[in-house]
Amino acid sequence: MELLKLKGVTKEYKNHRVLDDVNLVIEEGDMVGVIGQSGSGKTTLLNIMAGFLEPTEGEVTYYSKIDQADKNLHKNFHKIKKHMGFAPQHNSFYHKLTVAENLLHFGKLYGIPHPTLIANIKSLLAFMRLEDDKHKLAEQLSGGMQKRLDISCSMVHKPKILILDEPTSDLDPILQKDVLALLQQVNKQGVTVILASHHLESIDNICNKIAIIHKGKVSVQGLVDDVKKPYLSDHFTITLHSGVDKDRLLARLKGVPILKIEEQGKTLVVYPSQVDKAVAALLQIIKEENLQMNDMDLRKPSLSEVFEKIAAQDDVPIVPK
Amino acid sequence: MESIWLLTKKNLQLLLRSRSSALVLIFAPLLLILVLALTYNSQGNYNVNIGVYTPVFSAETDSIIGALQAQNYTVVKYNESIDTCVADIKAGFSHACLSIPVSLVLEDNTQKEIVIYVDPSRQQLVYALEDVLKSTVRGRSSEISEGVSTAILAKLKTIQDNIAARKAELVAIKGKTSTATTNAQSAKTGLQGIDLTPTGGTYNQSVIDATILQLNSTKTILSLAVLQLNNSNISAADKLVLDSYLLNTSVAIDAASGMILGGNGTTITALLGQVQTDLGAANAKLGAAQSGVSASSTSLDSTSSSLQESITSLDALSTNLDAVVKVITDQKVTDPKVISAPLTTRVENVSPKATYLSYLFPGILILVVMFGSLLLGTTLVMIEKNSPAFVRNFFVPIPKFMFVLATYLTNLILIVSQIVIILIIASVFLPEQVATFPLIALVLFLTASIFTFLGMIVGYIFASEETAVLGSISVGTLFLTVSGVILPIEAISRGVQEIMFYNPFVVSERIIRQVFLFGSGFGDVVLDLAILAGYMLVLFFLILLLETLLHRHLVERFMRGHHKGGGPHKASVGKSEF
Repeated sequence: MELLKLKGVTKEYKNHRVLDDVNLVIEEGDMVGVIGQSGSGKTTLLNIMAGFLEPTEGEVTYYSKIDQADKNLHKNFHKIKKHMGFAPQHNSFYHKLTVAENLLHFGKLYGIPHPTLIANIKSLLAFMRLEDDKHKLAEQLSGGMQKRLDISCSMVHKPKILILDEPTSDLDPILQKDVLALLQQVNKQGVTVILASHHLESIDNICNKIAIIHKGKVSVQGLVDDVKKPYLSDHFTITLHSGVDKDRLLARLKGVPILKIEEQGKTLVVYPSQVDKAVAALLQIIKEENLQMNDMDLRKPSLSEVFEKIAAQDDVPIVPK
Repeated sequence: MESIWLLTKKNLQLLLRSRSSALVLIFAPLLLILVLALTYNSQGNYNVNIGVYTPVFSAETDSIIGALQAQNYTVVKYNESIDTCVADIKAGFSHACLSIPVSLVLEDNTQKEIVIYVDPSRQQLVYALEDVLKSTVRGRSSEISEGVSTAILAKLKTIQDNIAARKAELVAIKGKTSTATTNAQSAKTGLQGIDLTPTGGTYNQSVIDATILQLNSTKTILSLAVLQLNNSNISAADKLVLDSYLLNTSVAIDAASGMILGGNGTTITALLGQVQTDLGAANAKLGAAQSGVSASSTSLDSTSSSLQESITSLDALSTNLDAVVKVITDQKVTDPKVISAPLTTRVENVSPKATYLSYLFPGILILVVMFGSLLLGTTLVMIEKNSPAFVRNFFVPIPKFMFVLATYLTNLILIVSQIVIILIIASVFLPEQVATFPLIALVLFLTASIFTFLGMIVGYIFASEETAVLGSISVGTLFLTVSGVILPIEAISRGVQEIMFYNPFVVSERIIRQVFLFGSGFGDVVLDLAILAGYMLVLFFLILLLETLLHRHLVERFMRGHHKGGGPHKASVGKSEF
């Protein structure tokens, strides 16, 4: 079910176009990573989706189960905001309140009945591993615990959509993994998660969808593998056990869709015209000739590489897949 | 040296590029000075309302009113009762009252008293005002004194003229009297010249007696003869008898004749001659006397005439003197003390004498509440605005005004705590005022609310806590400056003063003063309370409006302020971040 849809969303600040005709679809249960360069418009996009900002042009809609129709998010924000959780870049809680007090405060503001709220908080504290620190002042928590508290505050009312802007910034790699793992668990509980993060490797690992923003436009969006597909490497390598094996392999390459082969010692750098067929044919030759292969690197591109390539294309828009 | 300039330049750039800082640090003092200049750009005299009460307004009272108006004071006339004027002092509409007697005309040796009613709690004004009013009354007193003196001098001049005019008459009277004196002297001399000494000696009247006796005897004889003749038929005997009688008559006559013609001067003839001589002498004397008397008579006539004229002149003089006496008697004011100071003043305080603390208490109370509320209001809003949790509140499904109310309530709790402490302390020093505390607490509640809302508005407008606090202090200072606590509000130009009359600080302080010093009740201050309540509501709705208008902007600004601008830079892609 398409939960959120951005249709031709444009945002301008004093003649400066931050977002330009952004179209994006978020489906229920998705875990979407939004990545982009500094100033590309990630935070603006998240703020628009969170209802903070209204687009200059275009609209954001959400699917209303009650009305069985798409509704304008900003015009009906008062109806939907209780279903949204938002964690901005900075921690958004009261530093002079304890963990439990913060959760209780925000939970009560959402009008959750007390027994339900207490139950929610208990499970949340356990889920976020904050039980032992529930009576500590928020300012006394470590960076990772503060981030967990912040996410907890965003989830105390059990939102359907959780939007997080750079949830792992300022955290060390271990805490980053910790937080992202928690978010993955949140998503598994049925919450649609949208997050912007620098930690592209983690997004690569935990998000099922990504949207890459470049110069205010969503350059690419979709399933992670689909996004990566056009950016698979134009070559792969095969390292054989000996030079004899290498020569035997080279001798049987007729008919294999290969444009060019470079020899680097016992390693062959293969530039195929058709990757699938070339790989299959080479593996077949190795099997038939009983050759010994030390390694084969298909060079599946990382998200960083994909992003780098998109960024390198500069002003050339990429058609969303 | 270069580095100092570099750092200074950087500081200036940072300050000026922060709009709110620039506004507060550069334009706020200028604005404050501009406001103060506009506010206090008035001439020397205070814009003071002086009530003048007199049962009947006359030229005399108008002269005092004119004198006050000439000094640019606004005069409010009262003719119903001095109490109305005093009530207006208590209410702050008037600053002083003059109670002037029906007439300032001096009728006797009693000074006229003008009572000056002042509010001793208005420390900055009361003494100056007393001086002004006393001086004005003294001025009028001097005028009246001058008038009385002039009148007295005019009367003296009239008397002098009268006397001068009568002097000629007196000279004439003197001349006439002198003439009369001369005439009288002359008459006296004339009369003294009349010889009234007896001209003859002693006349021997025995001759006359004897003659008379003889003649009587003769008469008797003759009577007998006649009788005889009548009774007789003329016989001889009768004739003899008759002859005898007649003879005797003849003898008697002869004797009488002898007596008359005797030669030794003892006769009647002699006597008569002597008498005649004497009569002649007497006649001569009488003639002389007649002349003398005639002359004297003329002199006396002249004297009489002169005296008559003198009498007429003296009558006229007497009339004039009567007029002079009347002029003098008509001058009722004769006491030098009254003439020199016909008007006296007496100062009456409209509130009971109290300590300086009592007088200062209303201002101090409002001052504390104002700054406390302003700063707390601002600080609480800034705390909320700058709180990391500010964004999260955007999502909570409660109306925005709840946040406003919560901030207000928080502030109110703190201010109420302060007020309670202040009132407890006040009850120690001013135990007699404890009964007024409930009403004062109500006023302070309204005042705290107003200034809390103002502080909150400042908090919503400014970006940083420091500039907001500075802004809040500036607002408070502005209110304080035009409140009359430091500088008399009456020194403010008239137009601004009329506006400042509704300054919430002034209104609150006015109510507290009325309640605290004059014992006014709720009914007396209900109008001012309504003004405060009105301010409170207007500011509350203004905050709601401001909050509604600014909330999204505040959230955006907050997000910009907390946005770390993170993202994979092109140059860093593939390096440590990834």
